[in-house]
Amino acid sequence: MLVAQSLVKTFNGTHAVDHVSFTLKEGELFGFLGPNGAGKTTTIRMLTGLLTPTSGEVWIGPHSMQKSPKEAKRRLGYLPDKPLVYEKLTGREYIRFMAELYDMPDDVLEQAERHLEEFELKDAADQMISGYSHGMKQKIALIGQLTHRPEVLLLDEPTVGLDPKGARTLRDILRGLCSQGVTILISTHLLPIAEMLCDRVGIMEKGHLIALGTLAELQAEYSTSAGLEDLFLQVTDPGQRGGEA
Amino acid sequence: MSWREQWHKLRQLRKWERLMATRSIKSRTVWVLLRIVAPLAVFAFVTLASVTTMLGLAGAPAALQAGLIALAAFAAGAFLLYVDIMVVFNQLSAQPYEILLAAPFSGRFVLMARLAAAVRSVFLYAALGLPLAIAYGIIQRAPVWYYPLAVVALILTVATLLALATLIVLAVLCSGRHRITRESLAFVSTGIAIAVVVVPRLIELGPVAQQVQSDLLGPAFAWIPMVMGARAIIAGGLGQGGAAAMPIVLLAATCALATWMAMFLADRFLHDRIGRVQEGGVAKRGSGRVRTSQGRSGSLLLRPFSPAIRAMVRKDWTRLRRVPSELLGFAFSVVYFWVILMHPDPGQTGALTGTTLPWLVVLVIFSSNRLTLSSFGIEREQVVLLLSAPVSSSEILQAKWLYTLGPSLLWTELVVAVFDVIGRTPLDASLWTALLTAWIVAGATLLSLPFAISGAAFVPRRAAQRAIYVKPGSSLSLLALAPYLALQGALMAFSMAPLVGGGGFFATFLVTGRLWHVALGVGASLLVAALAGSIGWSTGSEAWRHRSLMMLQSGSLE
Repeated sequence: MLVAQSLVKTFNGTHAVDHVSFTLKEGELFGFLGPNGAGKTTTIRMLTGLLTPTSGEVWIGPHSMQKSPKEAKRRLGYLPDKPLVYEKLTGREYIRFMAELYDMPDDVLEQAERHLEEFELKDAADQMISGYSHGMKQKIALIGQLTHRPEVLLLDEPTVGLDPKGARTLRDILRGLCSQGVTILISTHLLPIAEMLCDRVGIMEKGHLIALGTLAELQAEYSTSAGLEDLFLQVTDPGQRGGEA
Repeated sequence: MSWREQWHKLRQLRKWERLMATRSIKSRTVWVLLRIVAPLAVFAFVTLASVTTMLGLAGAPAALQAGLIALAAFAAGAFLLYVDIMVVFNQLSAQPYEILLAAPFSGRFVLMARLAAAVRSVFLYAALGLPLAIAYGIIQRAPVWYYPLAVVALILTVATLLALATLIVLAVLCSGRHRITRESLAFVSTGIAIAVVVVPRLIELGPVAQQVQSDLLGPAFAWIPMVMGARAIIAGGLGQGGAAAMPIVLLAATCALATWMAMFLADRFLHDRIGRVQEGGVAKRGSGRVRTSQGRSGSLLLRPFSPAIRAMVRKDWTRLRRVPSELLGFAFSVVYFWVILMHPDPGQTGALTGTTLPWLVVLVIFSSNRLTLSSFGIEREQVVLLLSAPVSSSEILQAKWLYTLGPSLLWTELVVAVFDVIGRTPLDASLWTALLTAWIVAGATLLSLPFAISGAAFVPRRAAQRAIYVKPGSSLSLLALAPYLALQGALMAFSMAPLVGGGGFFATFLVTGRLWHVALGVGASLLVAALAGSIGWSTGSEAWRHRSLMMLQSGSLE
């Protein structure tokens, strides 16, 4: 469903992303991990079509992001770490705007109402977004991204600002979406959440994808039985691994 | 912290702001066009208009020449006061001010730090008054000392207006104990600016003055800074040093007093009261359900466009309903128009109106272009939302253009209709005017696209303290539309000549009353609008492509 094919992005001669390749299957929940500055956001921006790769290609289903961006983007939802919402719209107006932007039929709005209820936003949905807390903005932005029924959903730190209940609801919704065949890539620093949620993980460092697989596969590769957090530190900081050893 | 230390800190702050500003500028053709060619074109246009009108009056009575200086100073000064109030308001209410407020700085330091960025662009307006003052000096055979005096008078006038604007905004901010929304502050400030223009006119409108000099330069206007400046220039041009010195001293005193009062208010109240400035706008309670798009797609103007464009335009129009202060410029332009229309023209030459009308036309279109500016400015980080959606850059530009075109067209046509009624314009001429106005406004709004894209501050986190939607200097670059509007005004007058019987602003064009004027004028006007529109569109597309690339590739959104 999502194919990143040897992606390279160079800024002023520096490789921010260097030959990153992976394929996500339909209904897969993929954890995209890495320390700050590893190249995760740059990779996600290439996946969303915001940045043009220096070389390589992105496929969303049968559509190339470079050759037919409109078709590819129609199947894609993107939620960055900072919620992208229009402060002078109400929650419901924002949802309607997103539905109209993607030219969706009216029945998606019924689904949006259900999401409003799940995220306990129904009472605030007619208030202007400028009065929302960060977590509420994050929720309404996510609902907005779900209105066009994306086949691939890219989430950058989606749990930032969410209260524990909101985070739980998000996890449940993501799992539900995966069971409906939606492919999800989630970038996060919260490794326990990634461990709990993700089918596979990819770990980026200094522009390279240095590890890719299920937790069991990675444990086998690195000869450890540690959880994802320890495994992450071991992979991204060999010095620490040596120190611990 | 001592005054000296604060001054040092302020210079340090400006150094960092300049550093950030230079890093956000890329030397591309479009930027050279916008930052160098456009300002030069504005200056050339204003010089041509001012000098030719003044030289044309070389043999006219001295009262008429003085009246021209006074009216130009009054009209331009009123416009400048309005701009200053909005600039100061934007600067003071800009987020995030917490960094400055949390630091151990006094209120006056915060005020100066906020205004430092705006001062340069505001003072550029003084240069626009120079050609008229120099031409006046030439026809009056003024002594050599007149020219430096004219420069001082202009600079002092602009400085006084800025100080008064600052004082007005601070006074509004500090009065009362109620919560102040940005919206209400904008409304009150604009009301005060309008009152400054209207009240003197009401005072003078008893028995209509027959002599221009006894009108605008009369005692009722003497307290207005721009009239003080005009008095200094007029007296200096006539070689009356003593008479010229008095208004200069008065101006300097007014400026010093306003500055001192503003600093006093800032020191006492700024930290406490600036927190009262809150986001304005209230949404009505909805139906409790997400409304479907059915029933909303019937807007005639939007029907030919794609669903994405319709969605973006509706989104921006909804926002505009919540932030009506962006329409205040239109109200000011009508008041300004009224002041000019009510001004007595003893010679019936049209020269007085001729000098000030270009400012009016610029003001009307300037008001509409603030909408385009803010429409790009509000996207900021949200531009990522649009760029990651299946929406082309062309659709985004079309949506922004339509968003501005709707209210601008509505307002301009309304103003034209009202003045057609007041002026008892024949019906056929009124219809032609309405039609001509439509494509003139369409061309102007298209032409404003590149200015709007370059003027909108998309990246607040990089801009640090200057986290406002619209850069202060953007208003000046919008004046580059003046030549287009003046040309269109000439063509309008040319084509209207047979219908309204001649006379008026561009009288030199009104050679004959034959009907071929209509066809030629309309054809030429359409051609000019199409040409301007295509230049605006292609430059705007390039500016947008460059801007979005710059934002994403520089990582400024991170």
